[in-house]
Amino acid sequence: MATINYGYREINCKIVYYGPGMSGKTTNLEIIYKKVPATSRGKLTSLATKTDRTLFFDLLPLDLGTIKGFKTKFQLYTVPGQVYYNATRKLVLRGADGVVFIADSQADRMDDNKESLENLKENLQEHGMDVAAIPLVMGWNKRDLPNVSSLEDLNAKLNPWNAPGFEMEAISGRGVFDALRAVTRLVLQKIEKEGAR
Amino acid sequence: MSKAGTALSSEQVQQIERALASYVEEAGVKTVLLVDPDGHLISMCGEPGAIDPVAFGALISANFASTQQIATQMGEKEFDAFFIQGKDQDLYLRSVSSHAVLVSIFARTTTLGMVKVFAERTAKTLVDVLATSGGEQEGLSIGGGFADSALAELDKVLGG
Repeated sequence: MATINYGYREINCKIVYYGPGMSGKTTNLEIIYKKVPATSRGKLTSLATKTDRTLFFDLLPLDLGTIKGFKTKFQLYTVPGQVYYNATRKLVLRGADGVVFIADSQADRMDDNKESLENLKENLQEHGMDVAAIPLVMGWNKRDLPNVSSLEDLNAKLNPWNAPGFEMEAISGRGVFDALRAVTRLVLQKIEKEGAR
Repeated sequence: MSKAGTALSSEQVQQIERALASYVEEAGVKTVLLVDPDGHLISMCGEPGAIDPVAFGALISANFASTQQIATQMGEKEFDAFFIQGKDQDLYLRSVSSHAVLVSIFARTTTLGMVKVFAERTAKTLVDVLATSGGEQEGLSIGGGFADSALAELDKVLGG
């Protein structure tokens, strides 16, 4: 959860990119890393296997500078998408302020998307969080590929909460910033409304 | 109402800084970090060296959390502490109840026993400090257009 440090006048928020394996979570962070000025972001840390599959997480810190007297920082994480890494996925999800669910739009990946979304719900529940209450944004990735599901179909099957959704081609950057902006907006509004303990 | 996060007051931060400074001096550690369970760095004292505190905090938090899962599988309730031996420097991690992890970096020549004793004492002090909420402080409320201002900054950062 967001940490507000009144001593250092600092706010830290955590956003987690979730979704099935190979859906484009790491690519989202890589694009943000490439396009954001170096003065506003930290290093991209990746704990990956030798074949570049995420093993534990990727982390990209973003620094928005000082806003109304508070240094405002975001930490963007990805989780490993592969089904058998659930223990690590659960650990990374702990304390998340917002989630970007990166779905693979290809029709034959629908079941993987559904399974990952169910897993997200379960893991949030284990941390005492509710998928319907947490700031959530959907990224409909790989729209450039053939045989993709329609947006209506994706929304009907994966987005019963009517969370903001964005068409995405993470590899070219299309939709990546839109999703980041949207989840950031939801997180900040929640913090502004509810404050912190 | 449920809250969106945790808060530390200026007074708490000062108490933490004092506790960490005493610990560095007494135990002879090079660097000490206090990291919350979500991977955020709370405070740091000593020589930062080549550490990137944000990434370091996240890695430590993940590492500590994964050892707790190992503890569960072993039938242990939790691990209070663990030690990692390096070539020139060692690392000692000590839980501060469920609030944080105290991370000590020290030279191989430093006596581990001393580090353990002082880390435990410091952890006890920090439990008391972290047990209460920092709440909101007068004049420092984050309300009143904070989200809009932050989003405007984000747009600048993203080139919007």
